[in-house]
Amino acid sequence: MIQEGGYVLASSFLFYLMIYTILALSTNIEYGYTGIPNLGKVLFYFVGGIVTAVIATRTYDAILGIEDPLSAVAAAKRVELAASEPGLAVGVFLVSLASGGLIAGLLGYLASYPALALRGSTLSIVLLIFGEAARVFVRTYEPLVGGVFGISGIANPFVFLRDPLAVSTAYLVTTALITVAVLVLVERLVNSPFGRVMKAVRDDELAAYALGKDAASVRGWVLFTGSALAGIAGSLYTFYSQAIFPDDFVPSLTFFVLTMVIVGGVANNIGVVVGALLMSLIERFSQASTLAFFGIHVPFDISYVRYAVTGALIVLFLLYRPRGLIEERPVKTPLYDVLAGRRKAQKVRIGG
Amino acid sequence: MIEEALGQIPISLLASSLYATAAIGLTLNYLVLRYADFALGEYITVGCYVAALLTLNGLDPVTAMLASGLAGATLALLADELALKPLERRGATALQVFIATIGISLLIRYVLSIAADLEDLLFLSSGFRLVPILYIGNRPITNLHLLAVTVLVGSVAALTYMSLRTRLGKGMRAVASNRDLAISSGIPVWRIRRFTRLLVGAFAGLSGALWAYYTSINPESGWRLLLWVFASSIIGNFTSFPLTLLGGFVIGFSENFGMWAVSRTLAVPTAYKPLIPYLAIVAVLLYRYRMRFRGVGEG
Repeated sequence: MIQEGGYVLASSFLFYLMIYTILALSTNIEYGYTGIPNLGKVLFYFVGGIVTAVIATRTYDAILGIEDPLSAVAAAKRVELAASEPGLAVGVFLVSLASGGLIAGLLGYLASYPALALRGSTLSIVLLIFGEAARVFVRTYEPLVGGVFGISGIANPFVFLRDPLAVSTAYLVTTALITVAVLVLVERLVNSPFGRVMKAVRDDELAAYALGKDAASVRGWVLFTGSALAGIAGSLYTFYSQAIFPDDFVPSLTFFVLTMVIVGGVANNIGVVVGALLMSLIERFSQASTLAFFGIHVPFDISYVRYAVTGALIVLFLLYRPRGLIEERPVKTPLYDVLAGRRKAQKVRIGG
Repeated sequence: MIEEALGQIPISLLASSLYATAAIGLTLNYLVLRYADFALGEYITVGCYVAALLTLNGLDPVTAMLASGLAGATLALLADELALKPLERRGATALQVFIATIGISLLIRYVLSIAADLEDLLFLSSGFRLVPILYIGNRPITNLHLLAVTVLVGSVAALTYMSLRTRLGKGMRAVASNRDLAISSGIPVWRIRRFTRLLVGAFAGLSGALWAYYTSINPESGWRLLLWVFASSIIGNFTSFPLTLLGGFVIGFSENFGMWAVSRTLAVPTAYKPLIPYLAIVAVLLYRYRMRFRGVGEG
């Protein structure tokens, strides 16, 4: 059971970096490309986590016939079952991931419903308030996922490997594959015709309407996609921590992720990855445990520094570098390549 | 039963006055400056701390409250002059200015947290002494409730008087209804902006002082209250002062009186208290959405 401290630090850093990358990419397609300030991001992340926790614990409890799902004994039994039945564990993982994404996505689509009547800052505050409402409800309503103390014993899908190092590495690799897939998909989405409509809605909604693009439906689909990605991140996070605590899902997380987009590059996916890396580093070096590792002690709660720095970065970047570290690029289309002289114009037959 | 129901009135009244006072500032800010100020919660927190520390050092509550208003006003003005105004001058979009207020909010809140942690003030109770004046049902109306209602009535009266009678107030209305026309008519837009910020911060600081007199405070007090203040302004659609006032009362009464009624009749645990105002917001939004939809159909 003894692992090398360095490996634990590095693997947890990488894992959080990947979760943040997925969240930041999903924020980017909403805020960066379509101009929707979704301050309820943490709500959809949370929903993915809850769906996962419910599916994972309820399935095992039904098989084992557990009466009291919140007890430590039940948690241990669930993990033991998952370890002896690899097929079941991986199946539960895949089903949770898919339903977490889907339900969060549907909720996101629903959230675009007030978006028809509300715009900009009002919409974002309503989403923020809904996120807080969900957190308050879940932490109070114990039957769902154990209320304020949460529920544990959400078995990692690779727990059958037994060796903790192998379990952690296998899960890390899986998460990495999913993250890369998300990055590729998002990059393809924003360079597709729909991606150009997203930018059109952001830059001039009226013009988009005039060209026959329904901004309301675009917002709906963007919120669906963004929220589904957040839900998948929440699902991955829940299997990683093997437990869920409602108080982990506070609005500060939304702001933290939004800062990655603002710092890295609004409407630039590579920039967002850089932003996620930068903010993850800031997070690590504002943790008491990391600082203690280097023998530094401060006389106050160091996590305050992280959020103060986050706030300062938002203001400074908006003032002095509003496009972020890596700026938005023009859309890749054949016409753009022709205009940039990278491709020869071809004769096109019209109406043929 | 009746006693208990009446007993919910004082606390509902206090919460409503507090939310409404701050929400009027928020709506005013949105009308004149065209952005929703997320950092308002921090002006409230600073108001809380100023009032609590001054009363603990023996100053009388009313003077301490005025000092809170001053502190909130100063902070609001500084935030605008140092960050938000330069941002608008650089051509930032409304959305970017709004996001910047989130940044300012985080910065102030956590710098304050660090300072409070160093000084061991993370939890603080003010030196205000409650004096019961009149009993309604099973709970008293105290001097604090009277103070809260006075602050609300005073703020509304001052704002109304200014916008109807003074040049600055009329200028504020002009900027709110048409900024370009106001500029071309020679109205000193930037001076009006500064004046508005002072008012907004003062309202927030005053409500912060009331909160500090009511309960113990911490650096997140204002942030917790901000959601309710925003909810009040959302009910007022960020444009209507009467509806914003009504919003404050809807939130304050639904949170306390409504929770009491629900727990009494349906046996819902009081831990769900924060959810009642959320339901109120959803109801208002759905209603407004329906009205809008109907409007489109008829138009």
